[in-house]
Amino acid sequence: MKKARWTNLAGGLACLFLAAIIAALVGSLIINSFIRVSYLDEDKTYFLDPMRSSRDFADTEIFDDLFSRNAEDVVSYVAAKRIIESQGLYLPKRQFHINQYAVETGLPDDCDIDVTFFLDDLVKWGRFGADFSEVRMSLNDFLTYFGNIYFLDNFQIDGSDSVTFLGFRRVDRAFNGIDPGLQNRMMKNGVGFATIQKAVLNYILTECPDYITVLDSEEDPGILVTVLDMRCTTALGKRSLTQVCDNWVDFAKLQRNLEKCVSELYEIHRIYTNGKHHFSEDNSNLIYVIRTENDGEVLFDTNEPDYDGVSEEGLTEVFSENLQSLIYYRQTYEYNGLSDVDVSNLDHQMRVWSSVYPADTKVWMYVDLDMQADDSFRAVSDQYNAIRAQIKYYLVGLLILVMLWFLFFVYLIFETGRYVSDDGEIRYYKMPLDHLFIETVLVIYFFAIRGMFHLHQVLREATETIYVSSIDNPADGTTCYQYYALYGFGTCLLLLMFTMTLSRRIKSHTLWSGSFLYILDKLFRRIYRRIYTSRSTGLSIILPYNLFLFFNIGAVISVIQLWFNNRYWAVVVAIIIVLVDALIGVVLVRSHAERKEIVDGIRRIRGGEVDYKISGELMNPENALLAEAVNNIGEGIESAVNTSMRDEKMKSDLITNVSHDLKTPLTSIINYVDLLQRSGMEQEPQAGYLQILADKSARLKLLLDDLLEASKISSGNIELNLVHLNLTELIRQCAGEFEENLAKKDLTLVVTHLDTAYIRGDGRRTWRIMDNLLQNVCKYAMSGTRVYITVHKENGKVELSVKNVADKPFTLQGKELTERFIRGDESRSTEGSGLGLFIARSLTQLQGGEFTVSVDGDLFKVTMVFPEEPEPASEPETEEKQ
Amino acid sequence: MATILVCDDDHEIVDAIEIYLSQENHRILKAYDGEEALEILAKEDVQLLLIDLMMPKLDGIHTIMKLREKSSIPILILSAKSEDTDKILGLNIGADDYITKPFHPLELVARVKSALRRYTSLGSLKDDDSIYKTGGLVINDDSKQVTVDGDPIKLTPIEYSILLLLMKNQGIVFSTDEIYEKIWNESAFGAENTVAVHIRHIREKIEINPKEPKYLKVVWGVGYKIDQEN
Repeated sequence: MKKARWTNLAGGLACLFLAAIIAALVGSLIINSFIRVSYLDEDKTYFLDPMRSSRDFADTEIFDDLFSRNAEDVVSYVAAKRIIESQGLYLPKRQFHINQYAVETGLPDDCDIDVTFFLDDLVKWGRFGADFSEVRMSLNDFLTYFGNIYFLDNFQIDGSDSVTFLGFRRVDRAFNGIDPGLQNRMMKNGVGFATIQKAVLNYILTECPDYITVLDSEEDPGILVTVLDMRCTTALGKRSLTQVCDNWVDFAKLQRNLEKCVSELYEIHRIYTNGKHHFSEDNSNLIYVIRTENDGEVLFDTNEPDYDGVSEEGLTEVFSENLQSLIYYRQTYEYNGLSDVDVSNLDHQMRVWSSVYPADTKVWMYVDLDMQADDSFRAVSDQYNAIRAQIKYYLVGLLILVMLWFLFFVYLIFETGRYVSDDGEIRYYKMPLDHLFIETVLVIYFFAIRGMFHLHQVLREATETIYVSSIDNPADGTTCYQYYALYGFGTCLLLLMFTMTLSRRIKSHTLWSGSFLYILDKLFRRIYRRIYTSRSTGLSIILPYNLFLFFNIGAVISVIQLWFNNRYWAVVVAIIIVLVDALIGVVLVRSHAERKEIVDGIRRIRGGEVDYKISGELMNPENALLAEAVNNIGEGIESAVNTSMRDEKMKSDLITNVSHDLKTPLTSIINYVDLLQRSGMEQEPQAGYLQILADKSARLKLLLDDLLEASKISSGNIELNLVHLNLTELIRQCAGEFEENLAKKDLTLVVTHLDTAYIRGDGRRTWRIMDNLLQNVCKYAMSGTRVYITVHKENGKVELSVKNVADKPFTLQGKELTERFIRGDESRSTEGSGLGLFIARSLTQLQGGEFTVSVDGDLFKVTMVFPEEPEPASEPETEEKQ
Repeated sequence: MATILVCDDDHEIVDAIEIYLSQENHRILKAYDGEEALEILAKEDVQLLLIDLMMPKLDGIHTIMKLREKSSIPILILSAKSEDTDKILGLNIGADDYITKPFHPLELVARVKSALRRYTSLGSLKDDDSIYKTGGLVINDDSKQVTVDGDPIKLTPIEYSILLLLMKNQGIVFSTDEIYEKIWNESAFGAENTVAVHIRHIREKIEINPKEPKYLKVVWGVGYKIDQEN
């Protein structure tokens, strides 16, 4: 076991290290695939997909993008250059007209005062941005800041409610109070000073609302002026704008223009300097010519001095010789070029710099594919080509490593959890992780995988942003291999632990039994069985029914709700309801069919097919239970019937055999007694003894015969020969047979019968019945009395009764008399077997009749009732014969 | 008079039978199983066989079947089996009579006598229009004489008329009313059991065992008849 663990550990480590190496390799490939390119206004990272490196660089989308963005940058750079440079040079001490710039770049041309700054002062200022401070002053101070404005020339007063400030026509530095002319007019029209002031303020706010805020505060009304903090003087050395203005309107407009210059020039300067570096003749593989013509003034920009001054046709000819070229005439929106550059971006850029680019702008560009200059084209191209050259080796190396890793991986999966014990048998062991529920493991892994995925994104983002190699710093990427290696290591560790615990579980057959679902399943099965074996209807019917009802109602409600929100899910839920309901329907139909089968089985068992079995294998638990119970009942009946039949048969056989065995010795007894009697033994008492022997042996014979017959009848081992029987004829015959015996006891037989009565019966058996009854009469009837035999027909029945008066009182009731071995006198001293009435009753019943015995005092009455038969059709024939 | 073979595995019964039949001057041969019986039959000239059914070695049924292959002597079965099926089987394989044990010795003697008479006197009677016979029962209407196995029987005129009616119409069942009307020539109304009593008297005179009549049979609930000899 130890050895197994060591090899497993070694395998695991190898696996992990291989994974780390693979990840590092893949990582390096990914890292090398990223490159960051700096444009004038932003950086962009390109992903040089190693798997798609079959094309030449110039044919890739990346090249197109590079070209497109560089072209835009050229447009920006040329625009900046034209703003910054004068006469083709950058002069830091150039006097920059801020109003001119503002007007050119879109502000209204409404400022009367022209102020110039040194260009580099403005650029430096722009680096820090435009800062403002706020100055607060009273309305009067504000209005008279630049001098006295209260002259009649400045106002137009038509009435007290119509005072208009006409502008700063006359402003005196010296302040000598309100002009008397104005004062006169004011008094004449009844205008207050406040109205005058308000008119001035309104004028200022209307002309230029920027920078001036009126404070409406009650106790301290005043004006808040926002003033730009000057970081340099004007070209003429003025330290403040107020020094070059004589009113607030001019000040505000000037300050507005200056702010624009300050905030934009720095950026323009940056574009200019960067562009100048990027697109200088030596540093750029992108060659450009931009020609603009505005009001006859032609401007020409290029980074290839050879093309300076070449005619448009000449330029077009030269540029279109190159494979990656672009020729664009803005005015006609005419594009010629072999590269897939998006010209709309170029046009957009020109609109941004609309102050520089008039409608008649023409652009020629091409990329020198020899990549002589060391620029972004060259850098990206070099890296692309490097990847292209190396990818094969990378892939082969990776494949080998992955295969090796896979080998270890498969080995571990096969080996884990298994060891050969000392007695040579394969055993299985468990690791700590194997004791968790598989679901817990799955949940842990779900989050672990999500974490790893997230980590992967972080790593990739870091690769793209932090660790990407740029043109300026190509070695940056190398520093993040280790993270990839760690990532690979971690992923592999997770994978190994998961697959190995899975493998161990499968091997030791604990995958299912070690899961939470298994426990749930067991629980549900127990509940299910409980419900189904429960005797209360509440559990077995009402609970499932309620669940079914709630499910349906809930599902229908949710479908209705979902329908208004998400129809897709509504349809899905509806389909689920239909499916579940259909399933329940199928279960119900099946259950019904099973029940029919059970009912059928019960019917068959009831019909005597007691060995019939209902196969309850595929039935649902409830029906299976029922089927089993029915089968058990069937078995019970079968065994009971078999036992009873066997017992009866045995009894009958026993009696038959015993009777036969008794008959043979009885024959000898009868014969030899007879011989003795004949041998002349006449002296008493021997002769008397012999007579007793003779009588008793005769009685024994009778007893045996009766016993045999009774046993045959009671075991049903008797065949009836049923025919049409004339009961009156039979009684007549019987009367004839017994005439003498009755006469001997001085009995008178009275036969009463109104008609002939027919029954369906066996003649010999019926005779046997009458024989037994009449013998009883002869034995027990009181001498000198009458014996009545009556036949009576009523309601389709024939009633035959025999009545006589007993010579001794009865000790038994009527019903008991018909039991086996019962006689009226219990002493058994008289002749007879005691089976007479039993046999008579049994035979009557066998022929479908009823047999009742009643005792009323000394009156003994036997009544037999048979169903009546119609008279036979042959009767008229015999009538005719007579 | 005749040589009779008695075959039964019970020695005492055989001895008793020997005593009774010897008194009738018959020569008695004794056998105790079927095989022994067949051996004796092969050697001796036997006129009648009395045989039990349940015997060791070879039972009565098989013995009878073997014997009937070459001999037509009267065979009487003596058996404790009293079932109808046993009787039918015994008579079907060729036995002439079936006596159930325990039997009364005199009945046995009578049956043996009857069987012997019939056997020896077979075909000796003239075929006459006025002579009616079945089995051992013969009625000569000319001489108004009735014999059973040669013994003359005394009958009253009414009894004779009834027996003659039945003998003339062998196999036909007559009800008591029919018999009464034919014999008395008047309506049977009120005759009650007159016919039945007469019939019983006839049976007591002509039958060996009136309870199990051989000739005059009671068809219970229908009437009376005399079977045709088959």
